[in-house]
Amino acid sequence: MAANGSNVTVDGATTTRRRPRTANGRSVRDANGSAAPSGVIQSAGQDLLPVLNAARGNVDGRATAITVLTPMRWWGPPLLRMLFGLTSLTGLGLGTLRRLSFIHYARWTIIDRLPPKGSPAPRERLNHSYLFFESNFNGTWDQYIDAFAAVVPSRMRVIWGSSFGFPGPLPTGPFKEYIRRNEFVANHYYTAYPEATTTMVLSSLELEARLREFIDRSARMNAGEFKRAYDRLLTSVQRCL
Amino acid sequence: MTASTTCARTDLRDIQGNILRGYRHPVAMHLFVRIGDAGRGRAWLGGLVDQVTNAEPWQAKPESTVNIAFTAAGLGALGVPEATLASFPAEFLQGMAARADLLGDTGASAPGRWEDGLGTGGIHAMVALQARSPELLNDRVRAVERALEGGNGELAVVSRQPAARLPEYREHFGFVDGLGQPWVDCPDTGGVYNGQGTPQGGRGWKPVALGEFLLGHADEEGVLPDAPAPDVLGHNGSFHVFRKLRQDVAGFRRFLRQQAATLGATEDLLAAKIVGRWADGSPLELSPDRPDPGMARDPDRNNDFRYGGDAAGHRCPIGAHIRRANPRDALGFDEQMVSRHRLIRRGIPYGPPLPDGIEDDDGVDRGLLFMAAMASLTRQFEFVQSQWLNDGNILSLGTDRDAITGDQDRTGKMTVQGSPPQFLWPLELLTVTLGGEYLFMPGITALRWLSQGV
Amino acid sequence: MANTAGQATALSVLSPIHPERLESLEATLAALPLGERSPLARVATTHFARWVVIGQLVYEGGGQKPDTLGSPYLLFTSNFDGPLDEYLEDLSQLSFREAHAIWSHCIGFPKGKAPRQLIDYLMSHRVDTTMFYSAYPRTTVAQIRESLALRRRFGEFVTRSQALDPSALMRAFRSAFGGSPS
Repeated sequence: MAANGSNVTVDGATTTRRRPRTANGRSVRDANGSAAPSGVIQSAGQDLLPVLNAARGNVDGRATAITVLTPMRWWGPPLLRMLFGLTSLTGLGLGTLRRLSFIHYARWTIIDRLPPKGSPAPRERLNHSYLFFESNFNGTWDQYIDAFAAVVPSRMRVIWGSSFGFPGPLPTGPFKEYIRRNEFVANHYYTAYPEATTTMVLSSLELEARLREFIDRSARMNAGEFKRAYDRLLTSVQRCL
Repeated sequence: MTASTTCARTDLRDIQGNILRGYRHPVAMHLFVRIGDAGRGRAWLGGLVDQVTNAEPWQAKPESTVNIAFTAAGLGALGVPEATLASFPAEFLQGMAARADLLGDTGASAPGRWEDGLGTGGIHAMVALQARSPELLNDRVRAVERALEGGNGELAVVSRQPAARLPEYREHFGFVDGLGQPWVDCPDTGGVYNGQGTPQGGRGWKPVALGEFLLGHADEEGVLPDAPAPDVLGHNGSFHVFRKLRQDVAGFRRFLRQQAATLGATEDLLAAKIVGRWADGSPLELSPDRPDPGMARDPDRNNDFRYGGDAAGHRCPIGAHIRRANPRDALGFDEQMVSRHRLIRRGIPYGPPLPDGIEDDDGVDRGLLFMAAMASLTRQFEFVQSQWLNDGNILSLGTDRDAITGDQDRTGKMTVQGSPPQFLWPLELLTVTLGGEYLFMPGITALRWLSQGV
Repeated sequence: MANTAGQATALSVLSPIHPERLESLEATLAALPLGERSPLARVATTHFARWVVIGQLVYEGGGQKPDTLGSPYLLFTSNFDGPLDEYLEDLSQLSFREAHAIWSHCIGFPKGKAPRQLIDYLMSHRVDTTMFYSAYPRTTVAQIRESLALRRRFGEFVTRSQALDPSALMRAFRSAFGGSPS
């Protein structure tokens, strides 16, 4: 049980959470996304009460938000600035990310000072820089982390290796505990196309391009030609449907 | 707990029998028991433990078998302390009914309609009995029922779920079932055949780590799976899914006939495209044009295939049932996306078969008592059910659901890939969940521990 | 500094919250309608956006010196089409009431209700993004929505038209998707 596990009273039964709360103390989504409280126990003979979903702050349709803030060792910021800079310039290293097709939008930011420079509020005395990571992805939280830890563990190590407490990407158990400890559940999350996954968006874009091209190409065809061309179109877009 | 990479004889004696090897007896009965008094419940369990069938290899198959598993409510009913219960995974404690949205148990499959108290928290134990003959089965059933009698009825059977194999180990839609089982890294657990493991290299297979199915053993990551505390309770235990699935056989036949007419294909081929195997079990991937009875009967051939050479799905559709349930090498990334989502399946059909050629429902309840064993309900069963069967995104199939088991509402389609592709539409609801439970099947030592109380 | 990817822009804003107003801010955020009715939806160029309250920084030990924030922080991030100044104009015009209600919980937020003041406050609390990734950097929200709708319509057409003879198919297709010679 993690250090910041806490007692929760559910329907009169006092239990201890099996997994830690996230860093901002809001209820944790369990492995498959239903934010029901863990540790609900039914006494013998009682009807199972419906489990109430806690506020699903990180979820909007098929999109899930993750927000992570980790303290960095002194050598982290210059190293990551260089590596991120290189990746931004070259686009190298993003191939696997694209192929995994989980993420709509993601960002990494190194925070050296709080509040930001333009703020009138007094500057915080921070001993460390912080790595802020946010992602908008599809699938379950567990699936997301499992996939990245299994497929690109070296990438995970490079990005979080300079953060205090990072246990390494594998095995996934301690890595997931680490992320959970440093994760903040969104208070409000908005997505413009909640019904669509990254893969569906990419499929739609490809389908649209081919369909428009077909519409132009087939404008003057007779029925027989049209049917043959239509079948060829279907053959070429069947993976997008 | 020390991790073992292979299991020893001592382990096999401690593991309940039907986890690592199916008995494949012709008849079975599942007694769902309510425990109204912890002391009486423990005494009953204590009397039963010595009869529980274990996983030791047999010279001659036992004529009848007994195994037992408990729901979260059941463990509580036996007097397991709150702190111990809290060490179980959240999804097990919530129970299958509470996970209905995730599992696609909506509409006709909604828990509110489940039968016999399944999913209400009122079911505490499942006693699974199998036997070589109905007479032997009845003897065992009577014995168990007698042991439950007495007192003030604190122990009661609240549901009886019989099951019986169909000829050739088929299920009710007509397909030979149970062919794709994982090759588990544990010697002495029956035959090992090509295709059951995780694909390795071009043609090889490697076994799936024992800890993917049994607690207390190293899993695919080389560490011990999450297990309840104390060790004695979790070690050699396994999580078990029980799901009664009613199959609309008449509806399936009508669906096939109508779709075959629309698409100008034969019913047999369409059925094979939906499942991924011909009815006799020969896989489409190896025999795309017609069934191959010789291959179907040979366990070393009927499962020895990959999808890598058929990425486009022209031989076996990408959304075919067996391809969804176990994508093998189809998801790329060296099978990392697949190896931790395998299931040991122990399902048995229930109900009498619908005679050939009948397309009108006769009102008789028939289907599959789906059962499966795994170390993690959420990473294995729930994942396969919600991400691979009741959704299509990971396979780039959008929101398409499995044609025979998916939660269908007559708006869904299945693409049969090809040049050009064809589409099965609208898909019908062919499988309905009548009830289910998440159960924990403890090791023999753990059963004794439970019977002694704390 | 990577605040853009293709035509998309990343905005991150971190502002200190008056500690005694934290509960009120959390309640305000919790009361916001979700989905299409979110105030963030009114800026139609927004792909993904979130408000996150950061109560305290995490202490991991292992050589880390603890950092204690003097106040909690409100993090706002948005992934949107087009340049930053247009986005902030839109946000301050279309979602002013909610944005003002939320950020007025923050230290240094100006009195007064001019949209310009909101924009200035957000700009002065901006944090540059180090690395920004988009799966579709050249595609706007409008294009994505249109494309998704087309996919739905075409999927419906394709399943329902399988039995049509070539003439009927061509007529039905052109009626649904256009393309007949004028």
